[in-house]
Amino acid sequence: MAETGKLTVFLGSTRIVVPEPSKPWHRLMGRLGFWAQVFFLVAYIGVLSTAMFYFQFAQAEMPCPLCILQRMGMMLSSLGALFIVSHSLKKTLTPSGFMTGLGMAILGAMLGAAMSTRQILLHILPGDPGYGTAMLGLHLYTWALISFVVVMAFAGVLLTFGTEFLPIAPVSRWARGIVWVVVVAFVATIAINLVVVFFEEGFNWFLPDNPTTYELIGFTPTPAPTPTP
Amino acid sequence: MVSAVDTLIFGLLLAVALVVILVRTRWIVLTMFFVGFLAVGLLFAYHVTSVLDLSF
Repeated sequence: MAETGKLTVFLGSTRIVVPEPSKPWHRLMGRLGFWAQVFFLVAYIGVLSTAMFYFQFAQAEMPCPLCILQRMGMMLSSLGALFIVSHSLKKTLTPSGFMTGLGMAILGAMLGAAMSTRQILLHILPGDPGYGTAMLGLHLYTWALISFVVVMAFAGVLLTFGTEFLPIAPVSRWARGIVWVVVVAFVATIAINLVVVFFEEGFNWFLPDNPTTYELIGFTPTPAPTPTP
Repeated sequence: MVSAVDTLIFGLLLAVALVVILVRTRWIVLTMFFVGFLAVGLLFAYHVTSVLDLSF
């Protein structure tokens, strides 16, 4: 059944309305919805790169098992945005696919939040110096929890609007090219983390609680970190 | 034999990311996502080795 600017379908007693973004503000919200997902990806690429290239390589701080798990949580959460962005670019995104992407983002963020909460509680007692260097007064696992909560709030807000923020991908070649670069950069971030963690873990089953050496090549970075368990 | 669990899970996440980008069928994407989610969750459960001595 077609209404003005809307396609309405009845499935049993459920009324499914798919709006057509005909008004200028509809298109504006759609574009905003698209770039918000791209920003989500860029933000986590930035966070993961800072953790790896600055804290791990420049500061010689070896990531602990929970730190690596939180990186995985960020990647799982970002897979939702990756799904929305890539299928929007390929014109294969449906309203249900949009909800699937947001659901993936929420689930990944929930798992990541459980991990960072666990690490915060490990160091919650007064006098505990925490694990690794603090940034702007907070340890990286606390920042990670903040990021996971922000992701859940972001997805929650978009879901409350329903289909208003259904992404509208840009048409210009350069804008689409930039977004594809972001997509490739995210995949590369996972691949680089894979290599780095392989160097850290070697052929051991699991990472030690307080890693100090890249087990694959037997290299201990200097200055060696002195983390608190 | 390759036995590095964290490395394998990153490999799995890389595969999930490629499926998310390249595959259109939603149930395949969701199945792969939940396999990755379960793998990360199980690794987390392995590293949670003790009950914290805290009262909530």
